Amino acid sequence: MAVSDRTREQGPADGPTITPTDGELDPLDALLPAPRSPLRRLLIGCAVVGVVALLAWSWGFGLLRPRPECCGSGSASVTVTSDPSDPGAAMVSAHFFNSSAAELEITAADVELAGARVTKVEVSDITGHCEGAALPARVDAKESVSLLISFVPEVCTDSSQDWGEVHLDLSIPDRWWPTLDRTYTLPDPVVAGGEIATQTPLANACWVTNR
Amino acid sequence: MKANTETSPNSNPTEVSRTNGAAMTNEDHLHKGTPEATSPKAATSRLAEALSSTTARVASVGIATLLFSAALISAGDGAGGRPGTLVLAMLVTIALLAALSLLSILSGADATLTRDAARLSSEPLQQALLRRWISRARWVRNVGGMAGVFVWLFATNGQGDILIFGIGGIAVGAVAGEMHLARPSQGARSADLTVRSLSRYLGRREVAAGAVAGVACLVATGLALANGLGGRALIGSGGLGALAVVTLIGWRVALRRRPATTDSLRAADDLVRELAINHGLGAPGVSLAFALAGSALASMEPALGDSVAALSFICRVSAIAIWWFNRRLGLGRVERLRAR
Repeated sequence: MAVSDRTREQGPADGPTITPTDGELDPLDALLPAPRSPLRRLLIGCAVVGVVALLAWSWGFGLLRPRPECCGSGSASVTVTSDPSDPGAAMVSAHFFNSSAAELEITAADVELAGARVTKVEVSDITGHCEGAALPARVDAKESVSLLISFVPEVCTDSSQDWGEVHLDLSIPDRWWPTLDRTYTLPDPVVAGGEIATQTPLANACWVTNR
Repeated sequence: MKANTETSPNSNPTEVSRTNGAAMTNEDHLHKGTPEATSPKAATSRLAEALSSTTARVASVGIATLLFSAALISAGDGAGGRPGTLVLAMLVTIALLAALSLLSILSGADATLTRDAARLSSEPLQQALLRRWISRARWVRNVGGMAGVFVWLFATNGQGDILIFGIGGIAVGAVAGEMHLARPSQGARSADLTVRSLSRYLGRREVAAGAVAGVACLVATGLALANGLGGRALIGSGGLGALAVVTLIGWRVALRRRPATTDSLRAADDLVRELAINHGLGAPGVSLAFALAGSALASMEPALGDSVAALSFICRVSAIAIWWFNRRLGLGRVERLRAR
């Protein structure tokens, strides 16, 4: 790169100017990279946006990670009925939706209900016409099941706090994914069939169990 | 190594427009010495600029035509016409226009590039450098912003906060755009030894905005932690992280090496660094910080009430306002820059 003093050559106001010679770096290139052609920018831009969009779609569609939804997160409301197999117990039914693109297995469920003793947790199909099946249970991709939580209310008066939490242990069968666990807050259940719309969860449970 | 230790008054980044003395020399250099002016790349760039403006006109005319078509269809409905085919044609036309517009953005076509550079400087060589930076900065921001919107659309099914994803994409693009390294010379190397620091380039307004955004993030994080809302605290602290990242990259831009060069190019380079730090990086970073603080505060509204909602609203409006005024790099304030 030739650094010349143009003051001597062209006049007093020009000052020193750098002019690239053959094979040397353009002075602008030394400060900022040369601009890419529009075609190259278009290709790079499309590639970047395309790859990001593909990854985002895979993420959103559940291809990159499991997307279980339960107990009110985008599913129907939680209902309480009497447990057909145990007249003294109430049963809460909550929807579990496998939003992933892969099959999920619910390996275990740990339910905590304030003021109640949980007796069993089962899974049935979404229609509720089939009997509940014990865990573990598999849920196909984009399919829903009902979590049936049977419990015996110990009191009929609720505290002001959230009344229930569901901890689910999940795994993806036949995949390298590690197991995962999710905790969901159980919303206040309504009495199935719309017989009454009262009060609090335990009061409703006591009502359906004739306490 | 050749060292240029001269400290010229022209090294002040705000005085680019005053360096008119070497106009003839630089113009001569631009047209004869710089390959950029005569290469096919330059020709395609000019074509892209022209296409950009043409695209805008075509889009306007297209939209007007579509509206007219819609009116005709409405009239045709009553007269037993066949709106199905027309509606299909309309949709195809709209899709083509949208695709053309997207491709135009992704190719970096910029109809106002030459004009914007000319507003910043009157010297051709300085304009060439400024055009490089403006074109690059706008392109990476557009690509980043578009990628962010796609993430919002596909990863959250459109249920996330588009402000965070859109502005976040712009900020990521802006950071990526400033990560380049100048090409080293093949032969003897030179360096400009002018002392530079981040504070030299930072604008007062940008510093003030960053400070306010930082306080907003601190408030959001503090409120979340005080109320046991750890997830919200993470969002608020994300805003602080965004500010830290753009400050770090801004520092890198300020100290990026510069070879010995003319006073004229040095002044233009200083202006490029100032624009990169304040408009290229700072504005998206501050806007993202406001958006994150607003999102964190909004999610605490059910627990903490209306006062938090008001704060969240202010943060969101600030984020949108900063994005809006900086969407074309905020070069509309060029007159003020020149006059300082």
